[in-house]
Amino acid sequence: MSTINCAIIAAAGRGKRLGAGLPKSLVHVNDYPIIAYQLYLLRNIKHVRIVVGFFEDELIAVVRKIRSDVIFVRNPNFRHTKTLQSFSLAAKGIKDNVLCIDGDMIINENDFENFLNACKDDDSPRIAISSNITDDPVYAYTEVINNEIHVTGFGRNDKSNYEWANVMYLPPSWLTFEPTDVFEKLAHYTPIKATEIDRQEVDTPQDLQLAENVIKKDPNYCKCLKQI
Amino acid sequence: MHKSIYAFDLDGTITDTEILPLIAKELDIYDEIQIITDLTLKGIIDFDSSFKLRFQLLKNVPIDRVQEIISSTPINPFIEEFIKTHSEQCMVVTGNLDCWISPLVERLGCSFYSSTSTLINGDFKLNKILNKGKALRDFIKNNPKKRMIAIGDSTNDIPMFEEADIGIAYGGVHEPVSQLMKISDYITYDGEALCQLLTAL
Repeated sequence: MSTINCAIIAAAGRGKRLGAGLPKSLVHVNDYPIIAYQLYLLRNIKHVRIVVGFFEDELIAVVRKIRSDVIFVRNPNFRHTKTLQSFSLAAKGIKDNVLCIDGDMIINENDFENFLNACKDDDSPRIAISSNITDDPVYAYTEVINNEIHVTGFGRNDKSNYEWANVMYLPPSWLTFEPTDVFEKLAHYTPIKATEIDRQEVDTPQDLQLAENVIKKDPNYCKCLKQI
Repeated sequence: MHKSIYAFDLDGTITDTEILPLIAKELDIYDEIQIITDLTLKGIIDFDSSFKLRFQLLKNVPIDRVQEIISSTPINPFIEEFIKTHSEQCMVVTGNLDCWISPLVERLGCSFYSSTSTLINGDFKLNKILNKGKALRDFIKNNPKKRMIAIGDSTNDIPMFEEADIGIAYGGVHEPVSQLMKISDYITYDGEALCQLLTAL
């Protein structure tokens, strides 16, 4: 059984479709910003790096009230880079497998714990998939290999029961500074072990409403750190 | 792994408090020094003008008393440990004065660049205020294969960050100045996290 030592949150982007004028990490879901929920999920992980860009000062100020030992990785070129490049910047110097999360979603905490435990069990690369298909999904194609579900490919056209859920545990060497989508990079390394999670991505105002309803209905969906 | 050189600012980075106000308390001119320090931290007056003013106010404190005060300044324990275990790769780059800070830096065991002074007929004369950018440029010229990592928090660290390969704004004591954060690669507020990052890089 290994430990997960390091996690990276990609929180540099603008979130245009949401129209909030803020990075999605700072968008409030039922009174608390998304970052507060994510930092709760990462509360037992020793090293947390957050990639900042859009409204970086504001995001840093909010994070500092929640957790004091975060390393902020600046991506001033966030308007012209992709998420993979943010992860690549943050992964410098990390030797072990690293947990990477997009900063725009609230993840079911039981599912997240399952994901973490599966990673710790065998320390293999692992990605999260979801059967809750969103508006503009990247489908994940799966196969059972050695009694475990693996992702064998990704695509936008052919439907599948699962979509790529933007959480991964992988060697930092996979995180190269290229203007490529994360899933296109992961496709080079398939088949990759997968674990199913439920999460609420907040891409549009409708997503935000849905996320608020889900959490109001089930307060145990995901707690958050409430120091703000 | 790269062979890196770590260039640390002193006041408010290695030390847990600003040094000059400590000396000012000796002369009971703490408030006057604090005004100048605040203006400097906000970037309203530049470091050189600020230092010259502070030097004039402080030069009459007996030097061994100054050294005693500075030597007992609290140092961030993680940073101290890092410097001591990597002393060949570390240097302190400070606008502060050599005769005041030398015992402290000796305790750390690494090399340093600082402002310089001379004692003439019992009177202290300020020779040269350190330009951190020039200090790093000179070092890099003589050590071209090394990767330079700069750690600091104030306006006078900006020239150092401009010469370094990697800049880390560290807000251990006070918020790093905004202009420095805008040219940094990393920002952190925790000494232990800083040292873990330095070790990893």
